[in-house]
Amino acid sequence: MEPLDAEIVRRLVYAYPAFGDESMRQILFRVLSPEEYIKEVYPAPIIGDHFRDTLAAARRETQFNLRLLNKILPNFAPIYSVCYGACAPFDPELASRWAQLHPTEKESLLYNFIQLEDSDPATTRRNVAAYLLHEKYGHGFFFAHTRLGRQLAVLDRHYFLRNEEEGMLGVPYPRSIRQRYAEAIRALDHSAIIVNEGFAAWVELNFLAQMEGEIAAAVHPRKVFLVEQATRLYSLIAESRYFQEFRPLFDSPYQEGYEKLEAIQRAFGDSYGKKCAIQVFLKATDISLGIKVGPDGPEFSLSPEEMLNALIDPEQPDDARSDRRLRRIFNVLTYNRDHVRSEQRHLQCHRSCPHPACPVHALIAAELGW
Amino acid sequence: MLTMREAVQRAIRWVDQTEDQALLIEGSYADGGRARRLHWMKNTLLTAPTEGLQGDLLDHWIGTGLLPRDLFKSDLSEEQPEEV
Repeated sequence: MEPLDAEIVRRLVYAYPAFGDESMRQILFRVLSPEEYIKEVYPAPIIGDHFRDTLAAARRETQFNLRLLNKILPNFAPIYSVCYGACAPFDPELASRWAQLHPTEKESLLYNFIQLEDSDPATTRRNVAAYLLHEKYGHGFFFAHTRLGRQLAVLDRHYFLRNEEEGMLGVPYPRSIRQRYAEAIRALDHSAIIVNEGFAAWVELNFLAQMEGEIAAAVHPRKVFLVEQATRLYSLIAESRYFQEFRPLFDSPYQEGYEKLEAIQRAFGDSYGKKCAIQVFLKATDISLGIKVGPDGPEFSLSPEEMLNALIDPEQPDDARSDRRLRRIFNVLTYNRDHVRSEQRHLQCHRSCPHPACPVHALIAAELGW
Repeated sequence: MLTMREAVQRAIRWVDQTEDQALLIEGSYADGGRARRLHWMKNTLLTAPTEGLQGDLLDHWIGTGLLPRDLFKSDLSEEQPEEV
């Protein structure tokens, strides 16, 4: 895996040097058996036991079982967290048997468990490359290098982000603080899905395309899988105050962010496009809600009500909503494409990025005040 | 200035014409084909629950190059579908 990682980072650093810095190098990428995966990803004992039972049931099952499949697919998949880095479950035997029982989900099972028993070595390399790019460098970059991501990382590291991890927190403190902020944290988490997932998909698909032919062949099927087939956001509306107020454009969590960053990259051409897309992503996520780490865990500068209102009150400006920021930045940039391109040529942006007079930053500041 | 209703009507008319041309070339709503994509766009636009969301969809497709920006110039009386 190391040569593949080195090859990937060499290409990423060319687009943005921070992809190669120490914080990114420290992120682990591990391929784990399902049992090891549960230990890392679901450390809370009750949740861990639940998924160990699920896994045991999956290993025993000999019939079509849609209910069990719907527990396996979303919960055993490549994932990133600041606590344990990037992890991918690996079990070709289990994935193959389940693919025989559920032929229509063969592709999902292959992607979730990296390979099937009859997969060729190229398939495995393609999937590992895709997950290195998506999980380690896409999500890893978001949590390490964006202002919004670093605040979410504080919450993740202290078990404030996922409801099922509440049992890991001490009573009465910090569990009571988590409970007071639960609704605001949930809105913040949902507001970041489209930019975080869209960026991870953009990193994956763009840089996969630059790899050797055997790996680059993954681009089309992965794009179809992520952009056209993935579903999640519409079903989230019922339980998300954020998405009830600001409805997602598409059901795929990857589609809007990916397509916008991809269009910006295309609009600004080979010399500048990737660099501009990364600057747009950094601007969209340049949000402070005053969350920082203190000696006893996360500290909040805003009250729960202030934080929630900044996110879900439509009367408030879009400053705190990364997906709305991306939408508005995208509109401004695509409408003023010719002006930005001529400035880029004049400033010779390909030599250093961001240029002190970066036309992308200047336009966003002038039009949107960010 | 176009109303959102007029903008949506123009987009639907353009999509219908372009979809017909794409179907003539592709023969079916084949996987990954332009006709299938256009058909999906129209459904997504027509089922969007608010005008605000319809506007955001149109902005997205104009910006990503799926819809021609000129289509929404308010002085345009007849839209021609682009070459497929």
